[in-house]
Formats: sequence, structure tokens, C-alpha cells
Amino acid sequence: MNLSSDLRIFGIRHHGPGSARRLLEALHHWKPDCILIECPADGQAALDLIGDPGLVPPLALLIYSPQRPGNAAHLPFARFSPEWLAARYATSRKVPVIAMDLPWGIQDQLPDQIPGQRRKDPFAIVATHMGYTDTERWWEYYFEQVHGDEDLFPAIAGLMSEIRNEMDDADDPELQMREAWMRRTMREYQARGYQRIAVVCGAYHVPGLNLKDFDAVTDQALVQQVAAFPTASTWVPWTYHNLATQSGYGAGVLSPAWYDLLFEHRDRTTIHWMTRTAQLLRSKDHTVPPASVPASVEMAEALATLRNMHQPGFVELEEAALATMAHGDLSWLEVIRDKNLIGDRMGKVPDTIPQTPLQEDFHTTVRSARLKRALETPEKVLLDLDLRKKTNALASILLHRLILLNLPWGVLRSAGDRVKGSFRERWTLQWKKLFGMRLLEAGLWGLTLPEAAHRYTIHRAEETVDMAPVSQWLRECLSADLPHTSARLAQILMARVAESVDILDLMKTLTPLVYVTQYGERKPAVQEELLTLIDRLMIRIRVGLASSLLGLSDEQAMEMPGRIRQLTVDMQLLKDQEEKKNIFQILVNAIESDGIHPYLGGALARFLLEEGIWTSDQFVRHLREQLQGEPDMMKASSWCSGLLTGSEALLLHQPDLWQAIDAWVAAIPEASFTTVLPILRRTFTGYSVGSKRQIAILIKQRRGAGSTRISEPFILEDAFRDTVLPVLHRWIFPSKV
Amino acid sequence: MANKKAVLDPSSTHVLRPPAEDVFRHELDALVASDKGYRPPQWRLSPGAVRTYLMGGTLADGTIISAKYIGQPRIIEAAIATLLTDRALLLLGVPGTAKTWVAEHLAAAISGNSTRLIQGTSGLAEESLRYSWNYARLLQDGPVQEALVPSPVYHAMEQGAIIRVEELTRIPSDVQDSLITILSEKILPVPELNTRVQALPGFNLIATANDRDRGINDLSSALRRRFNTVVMPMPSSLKEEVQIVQDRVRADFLHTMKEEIPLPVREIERLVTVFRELRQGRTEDQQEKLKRPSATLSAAEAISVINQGLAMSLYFGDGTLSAHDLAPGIRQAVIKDPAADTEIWQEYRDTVMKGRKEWADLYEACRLEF
Repeated sequence: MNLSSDLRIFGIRHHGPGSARRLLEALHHWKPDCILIECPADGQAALDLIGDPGLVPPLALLIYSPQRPGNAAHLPFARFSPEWLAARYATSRKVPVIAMDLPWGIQDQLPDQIPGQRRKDPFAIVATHMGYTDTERWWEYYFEQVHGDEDLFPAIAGLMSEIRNEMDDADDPELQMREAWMRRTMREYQARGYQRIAVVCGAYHVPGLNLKDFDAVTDQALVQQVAAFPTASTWVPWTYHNLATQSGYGAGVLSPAWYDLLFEHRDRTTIHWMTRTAQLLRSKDHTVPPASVPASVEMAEALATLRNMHQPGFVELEEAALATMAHGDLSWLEVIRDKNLIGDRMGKVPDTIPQTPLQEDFHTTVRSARLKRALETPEKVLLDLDLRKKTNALASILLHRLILLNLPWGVLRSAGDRVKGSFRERWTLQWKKLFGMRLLEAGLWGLTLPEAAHRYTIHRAEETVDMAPVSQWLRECLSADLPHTSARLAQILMARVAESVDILDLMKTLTPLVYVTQYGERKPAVQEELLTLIDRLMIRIRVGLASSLLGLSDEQAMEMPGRIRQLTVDMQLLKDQEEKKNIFQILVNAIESDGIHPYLGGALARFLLEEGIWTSDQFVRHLREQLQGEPDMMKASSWCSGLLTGSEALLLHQPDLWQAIDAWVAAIPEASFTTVLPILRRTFTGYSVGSKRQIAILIKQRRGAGSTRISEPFILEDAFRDTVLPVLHRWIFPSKV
Repeated sequence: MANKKAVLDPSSTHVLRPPAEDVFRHELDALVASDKGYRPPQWRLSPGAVRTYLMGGTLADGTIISAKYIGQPRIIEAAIATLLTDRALLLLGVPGTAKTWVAEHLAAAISGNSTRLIQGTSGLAEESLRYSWNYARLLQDGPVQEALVPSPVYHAMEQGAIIRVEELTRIPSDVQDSLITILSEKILPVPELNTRVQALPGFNLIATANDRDRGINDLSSALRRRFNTVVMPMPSSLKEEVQIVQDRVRADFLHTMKEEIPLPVREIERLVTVFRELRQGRTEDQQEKLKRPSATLSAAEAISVINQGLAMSLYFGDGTLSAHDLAPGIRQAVIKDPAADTEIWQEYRDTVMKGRKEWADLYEACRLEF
């Protein structure tokens, strides 16, 4: 062993901007000839690529096992991460940078600690002692916001020794093994003859890496207990959002954008933050005079003084901005908080970096589904699949899985549905550059497409409040051949059905479920559960429907008729006549009540007539009640709009209806006519040209010629426009072809 | 229970409501004595000691400082930090969120005097903010310093003290704007005498304004940016709000009584629960959604309902606050707009109140009220 070699341990906090500055200063000053960083040794292959100028942080170093799909570790790095800066420093000085931690191929085999038995956070003990409820804030105030003073390293080491003495680490085999491996690496590089070795590790490890206190032979025996399984490593782009929400190896940070600012602007953080906040507020159309910025800075500093801090933290800055710029309105700041605290910075990885496992899986699947040509064509590709053929079925599953991963490479034509009872799917495919990026990001969720689609979908389902999207995904999962995912989604829906109070959401949830249980090609493995779920949904809808039909906003009232129609279709599919009768009874009751929105009332009246619940006489009687006498003009016109929207045939072929409407329109006083006109116009614009013409003719006939002049609208039928116009155009402008 | 015909104790206080600096004199004196922090010019206490005065605590010498504000410390810290800067402080909030209370105590702690006060009304003239004249002297001697009658603002500027303006947004806009020069230039010109008052360090202004009436005379943007705005929140938890009501009932009402009267803890808790649930449109267990009446239903209103109920029980009842003493007050507070609120109140009474077994007496009492 080379005893003349010097070895220094720099205890840092992962992603600590203060640590990063301090470390850089120390490295420039000391000029090590070898740098060891706390990173699993099997990440060395990726670490060797760190000099590539195309790598732009935030990034994650991905270690995965090709043989054990589902297992992978992401080590995130931001531009203010001390390890990142140390590694970049090393490559710029052409000195080796070594991943010195226990290989992930071993770490992943060690038993996970049971959360309940987890040791108490050592830093929390000190932080609490010093009066901080939040460990992050404590560390930030003491070690990250201060100037990059090298002298702090020994102080941190001393503090950590004290903390480690208080902690009992003997019962943490993972920690023991990791530190033994790190010590072994340190000894190895001493033996190789390096003279100035810099060791960069999380501050907590500093006392555990003091070589004098440990025996090399014992360490060797400890790390040989478990053999590493083979792994591979590469870089994947990361985002500040991932950094803020992910935990795991090297953990994340709560507020990357804030740390980024601390790193970049050192002493002038407050001014930069306030200026940026003012700009962000202005971008949201708030008036923020320039004079407010210095006032905010002043107040943030006063708050920091009041709280005995040398510099305002994020909390102080936000409180100051709230009082000075936002006039106490918290919603102003909430809108921009994400940008201010987390930020939207995204990393970049050049093409030269090895592919991620998910990308490989994607390309393999694309090849076996014979979609490689479609992938390489920038134009739209039309694809007709016969699901009885093996490659076609494969392609269908691939496209559905991609949809679940929010990568809609293929879009189903014909209203997104498979043609009922057939084995055909018709897709339009178009690859977009954006999808490549999303595919890389999706790697976070798994190493293969089914795995990533499963995890991502479950994650989204757990995050979503509404039930309807979950139900949609469940249907998608069956087409994507992910039975486990659909089973889990069914469980999630089951747990929520009792809590949901939003009837519209419940109705939207029902439809996809009815579809998959009644005529999905792949009968779900959870058919029984889904039928129970449908039962529960039906009960909730029946109980809540009556009250949800009353007191609606305009928008809700416009949405409701379609939903109710769909609901009866669903019940038809379920062959549940009893329930259908119940629902119609509720509709009949609702339509007579005062609280119903006129638009919905009109739409329901027509619906009851169409479904044969009301006789023609009943309908006409109701119609007269709505329009005769001196009704509120807005209400009556909204009612008509609900009745007539999308129902040209009804108006043309029901003479009673025609007369009633005609009489009402004719009787509208001139003063109210302008208020009513827009609503009526909106009602009729949806009608086809043919219908409009027919209506015009009817008016002419019944009113007698001469009394009304009808200008025939000059509107070209779609087919006519598409075929004839281009020809005319070429004929008129021959030179421009 | 013995019929406690309690009467006001004539010896308890000399005036109905003495200013904060008198009521809490011993606390302020103890704070001054123990305060080692840096005091800005003309401040009687360091900013840290002002915070202790408002939020409460125990001093090194054992003096207990009572909490004047029960709620998040950051609200008070933001207010104090504002007064340390160049800008004036605007406390904004719905009625009953302790705006005036906080303003008074801040002035008492910082300047030792909370009585420099201007009550904002729609009839307030510019002279009330600047200065007016003793016309007898003016006629006799012409425009001389002795004929000038200074406003509280004038005094505060001269002495480097805090001036309070209540209900700033009720003051007509053009009168409000006369504050702009005072707040930005820190001078008050007296053209008649060809002089001006220049404010001493320590001069600042605390204004309060009502959120709901914000539209009455909204601040001009020029004036607005002379203020930092601190929004006073409604109490965040049931426990906090019950504490506030208890403290104030004890201080405002029970202390004026000769006899020891127990605090009606259970009734306060139920009343505050009713107010909070209706105000938030949700039951405290978050299970049920409720319709919200138009009334504010703040802690201040709860206090007055309790005080009113206590008075009823003391003078007309058996001295114990019962559900029957409370019910009329609750109804009055909840139903501000009879057309809209009556139904909401009845629905609450017949669903939520009725469903709580231990509330049977209150439910019965409220049902009798119609």
C-alpha cells in the first residue's frame, strides 16, 4: 500500500448547491489526481461517458438488469449536483472518476428495510434539536445558503461523527456493506499509486469511510457474501419534475428550480428570485410595477432578520412576494409556484449514448409487428389490422400499449371503436419526434412495454380523482393485453364507487365497462367483478340522478342529454329493463319540476317522445305549457334549443311541434327578439343544409309566398367542395400547379 | 343551581374598554426590560419582542406573555416585517378576523400608543387625514402655527410613531389618495404656513380593510403599491377557533362580572362547529357537503352570540348557558337574507344537527325557533 498517498473525504448533500460550490472550490484548490464518487460500481460504464458534451443535465444514470426485467435504479443528477460537477471536473482535468459504491447488482439483492422499522432520520434529530420541524430547511439554512467556504467540510465531518455515535448502524446490513465496499475501492486506488484521492460522498458516510478505523480483511469478507448479478448502465434524460417527485437512490429534492437559482446566483438569489417572480406574474396578466421588486426584496430580508436567518429562504421569499406583489392573493403565487419551485428544465442525451432497455424493447416489438417502415415514414400511414393474424394482433397490442403510455402513435379511425363483432381495427399511424422523448421518459416506469404501461397506468389511476378516465384505461388495457392491469383498475374503481358524488362522472365510467363486459373480443378475466361494479354504479346513478338533474349550470345542462341517452343505451346492452323503467320514471318526474334547466327540459321532452314513453298528445301538451302564455323569453328559447338541437326530422315531421314552435316564434315581441335570436341561431346552425332548405320551404308554404323572402344560403356540400373546387382552382390558376 | 343574578362589578374597570397598552402594561414593561434585540429608531421593542408580545411566550424572568393572536405566526411576522420596510401595512380580511385587534396591539407594542386612530367612513374629509384650523385663532391671528389643529397622522409623523386607519376602503378615493405623498415622500406640506412636517423614522401606517366590501372604494393602484397586503385568514382549525372564542368571551364578558362564572366550554364548541360547517360548506368530518348561507359567520360573530346568550341566561335564566339561550342568536347570525338563508339553515338543522345524538337539546331548541 502506498502510504505517501493523500486522501480527502468531502461530505456533501446530494443535490446541495452549497455543497456543490464548496466542493468545486476545494477541488480547484487541491487538484486531486483521482476522484471517487458515491455511485454504484456497475454504473461505471455510463460514468465513463460523462465527458460527452451532448449530455445536458438533469439526467439520470440508469442501471438495469437485462435478465431481471422490472429491476432498475435511477440516479438523478442536476447541474447543481456535487457528484455531477466533480465528475465533469475530473474529465476536464483528464483524471479518472470512479464509481465507488456497492454495485447495484448486489444492493438490489439485499432485503429491503421494512418501513415501520426504519431508523430515525439522523439529521432530523439534530434539526429538531435546533428548533426546525423540517430537516430540509435546517440543512439548507446551515449548509447550502452559506458561501462556499471550504472550512465547512471538517465541520460537517465532525457533526456527522457525533450523529453516527448516536445512531446504531450495526443493524443496517446494507449500510455496512456499502461502506465496506467504498473503503475497499479507496484502498484499491491508493494501491494503484494515486497521490491525491478525492472521495465525494453523502455527508452521513464520512465517519464510515475513515480507513484507519476499519480492517481491510474484514471488509473484503463482508462484500464477498453476495455475488452481483450482471447489469448494464446508460443515461436517460430527466426533468426537474422527476427530480422533485422521485425518491430512491441519491433521492430527489423538493425544489430543484430553487436550488438551481441558489447555485447559479449565489449571493443575489433574493433579487433574482423576485425579478423572476415579477416576470412570471406579469406573464399571467397581473400588474406588477417594477417598484414592487425592491420592496419585496426589502421585506424578504426583514422577514429573514426577524427569523434569525442570514438570507431569506423560499418561504420568506414567497411570503414577501405575497404581501408586496400579489396584494395578499395567494392564488397569484400558486399558479406560478410550480415554475418557481420545481421548474421545467429538461435534460438531453445524444444519440451516441446506448439505448435504454425500454427503447430496445420498443424497437424489437416494432420489428416483430412489421411496423418498422411505418416508424420511419414521417407521413401518415393507414393500417388495417385483422386481429386473427398473429403479426396484426401483435401490432394492435403494441399500439394500445403505447396509447396507455401517452404515446398515441396510432389513432383508431371509425370513432375509436372496433367495428362491433369484427376482428378488424383501422388505424392511422404517424410518428412524432415528441414520442421519442416520451419513450425515453417512460423508461422510468419499466424496462419493457407491458411493464411500463402497467405501472404508469396504475400510477395515473391512483393519482386521478375522476373515475371515468380509469374506466377508459381499463377498456384500453383489455385491448392492450394487460389483464393484471385491468384487474387492478377494477379494484381501484370498486374502492371509489362508494365515494364518488359526481353523477356525470359515474355515467361516463359506466359506458366503457358495459362495452367490455358485453362485446369486447377479449372477455376480461375479471368479468364477474366488473359486473358487480356495474351493478353498484347503476345503483349510485339511480339514487343520485334525480337530484343531479336539477340546478345545473349551462355547460352541465348541455352535456347531460347526451349522457342520459348513452345511459339508456348502456342499459339496453345490459338488458336491464327494470332499471331502464326506473330511469325513465325519474326523467318524467324531473321534467315537471321547476328546478330543471330549460335546455335539459327541452332535450328530455324530445327524448321521452322518441323513446315512446310519452305519447304524441302528452308531448304536445307539455310543449304548449312551456311556450304558451307569456313565458320568460330566455327560458323558453333555451328550452326550444334543447328540444331542437340535432333533431331536424322531428321538426319537419311533427306538424303539432311545427305549429307550436312557429306560433311561439311569431309571437315573440320585437323587444325580446334580439335576446332570443343568438340561442335560436345556435340551435339551427347544426342542421344540415338540406334540412335548412326544407324548413325554409315549409315556412314558405305555410305562410304563403310573398310574405317571407328566403335567401337560399350559398353553402357547398362537403363532397362537392372537395371534388369540384380543386378542379376549378387548377383551371383558373394553371400556372400555379 | 343557585340563581346567579350576577351584576356588573362596578370596581372592575374604570372605562369600558381601556387601550391595549394599559391592559397589558406589565407585559410590555417586562418585554422592554428583557429585550436585548436591535430596536429600529423610535421603536419601543425589537421586532422579535413585538412578535413575542403578539404570539405569546415566557420571558427569561418568568413573565408570561399572553397570546394576543391565535393563529399562524407567519401572519404576524409578515406584518412586523412590513413595518420594518418603507411600505405601509394593509390588513385585509373578512369581518371578524382580528384585523383591528392585531393593528391595535402592533401599535401598542411598537409605539407604546394604540390610540392614534382614524376611523374611515364615507364622510371622512381630507382635513381629518392632514390638519384643520381653529377658525377663531385663524380669524384673529391669520395663518400661524398656533391656529393649526394637527390630525393624528400629523402627530404620528412628528413623533415617529404608528398611525392606524380603520376601514381604509370606506374612505372616498380622492381623500384616500392624499395618503400617497405622506406614504411615499414621508412629508406633509402645509402650504398656508409655507412649512411641512417631515416624518421621523418609526413613522408608519397600519390600515385595515374589509375583503367583502373591497369594491366600495378600491385603492388606486398608486396608493396600493405603497402598501404591503397581509390577508388575515379565518381560523384554520376547530380547536384554534374555539380557543379564540373562549379567550375573548373570558376577557370581554366574564371579567366584567362580579362573580366567578364558568366558561360555557361545550356550548362554545358546538356553536363554533355550526358556524364553521356552514361557512366552509362541509361538515367537520369532511363527509357531507352543505349549502353555504350568505352570512360571514366569523369567530367575532360566534363571540357575540355567546355573549348575548350568557347575558340572557344571567339576567333571565338560571345562570347556566343552555341551548335555549343560544338558539335565537344562532338563527339570527345564520339567516341574514331570509329568502335564501332560511332554507339552508333548516336543511342544516334537519340533517346535520338532528343526526348528532349529543346535540338533541340544541336541535330541539333550534326547532322551536321559527
